[in-house]
Amino acid sequence: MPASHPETDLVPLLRGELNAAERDRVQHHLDRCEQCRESMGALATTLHQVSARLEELPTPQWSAYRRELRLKLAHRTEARSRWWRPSVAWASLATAGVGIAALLLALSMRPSSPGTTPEVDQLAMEQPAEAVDLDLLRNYPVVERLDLLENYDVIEHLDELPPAEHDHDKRS
Amino acid sequence: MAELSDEELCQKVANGDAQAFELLVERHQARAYRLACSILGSESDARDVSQDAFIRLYESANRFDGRSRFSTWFYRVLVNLCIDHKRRDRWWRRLVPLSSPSDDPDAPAIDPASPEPGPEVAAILGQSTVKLGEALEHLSPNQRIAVLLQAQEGLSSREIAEVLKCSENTARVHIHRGLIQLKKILKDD
Repeated sequence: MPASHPETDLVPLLRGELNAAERDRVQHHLDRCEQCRESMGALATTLHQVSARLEELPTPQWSAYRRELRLKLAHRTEARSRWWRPSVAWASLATAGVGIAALLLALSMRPSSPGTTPEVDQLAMEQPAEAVDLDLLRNYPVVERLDLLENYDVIEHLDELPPAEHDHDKRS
Repeated sequence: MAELSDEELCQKVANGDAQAFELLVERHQARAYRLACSILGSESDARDVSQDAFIRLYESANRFDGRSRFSTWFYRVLVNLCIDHKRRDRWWRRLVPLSSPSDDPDAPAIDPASPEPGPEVAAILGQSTVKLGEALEHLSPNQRIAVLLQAQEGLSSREIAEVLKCSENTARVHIHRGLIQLKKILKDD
């Protein structure tokens, strides 16, 4: 028996869709392959069964079907023409314009997210805060030796403390 | 006008000819409805979706460039609407799950909508058609559409490939696998 079966070419052969070269190739195979001949017979039967059974499907009353279709079409055409009427079109455009303006306003008032790069104004506002923390940085050796939770009061009044020991030593 | 081809009628529809549109609908209504019914498995949905496809046809006939057959173009519109409808349907069901009768013991007993037709409907349709509908449900959407377009509409593999936006070889694989699976399911029944 031949190694590869032209399975997917069997229906096209049945329906006369293959060109001359393809037809010869498949026909040549069929002459030698009983399995494919049987398969082609079964496919033809199934195709015929499907086709015949679909014909049995009940159908609606066609005049009523077309009347319904005409109504749907008229309704759709009317809806479209109503939309394009100048007053409706202008009202829709005005609504859309207000919507866009509100969206733009909301976007412009939205605070920048924390992940984004701070803008120049924001940097300027942060500078005084950093200056206030300078005393804390100057007394860092003292802070290092403190237990944060127990000596919160000390940290709060760091600016009132005398200069750190190493500063004192240097001066003396 | 009756002797005009689908493509010529479509051209007239693009120019606003209502009579040409009526004629195209008459020519394709049964096939469009049956195809939608086979894909969606519901008569009312098939009615709605096939009518929507005709509305699309009316509104966008000028986009038909005549490079493919009218039927290929129209069935692509219809199949896309069916797929969209199924997707939407699934989305709604996920969002608003239907409550089970056990949720409210005082609620009146109402027969829930069943995907399987009742005995009366089955009798009208014929057992073999009902079985086919159930068997089609077991195929993948692409296999189902490929088989239906081939068996019902007589579209070629190349045209089915155009509708499904895939290669011709892929369309052939869908048809082959779909038919093999249908054969197996129908035989088992």
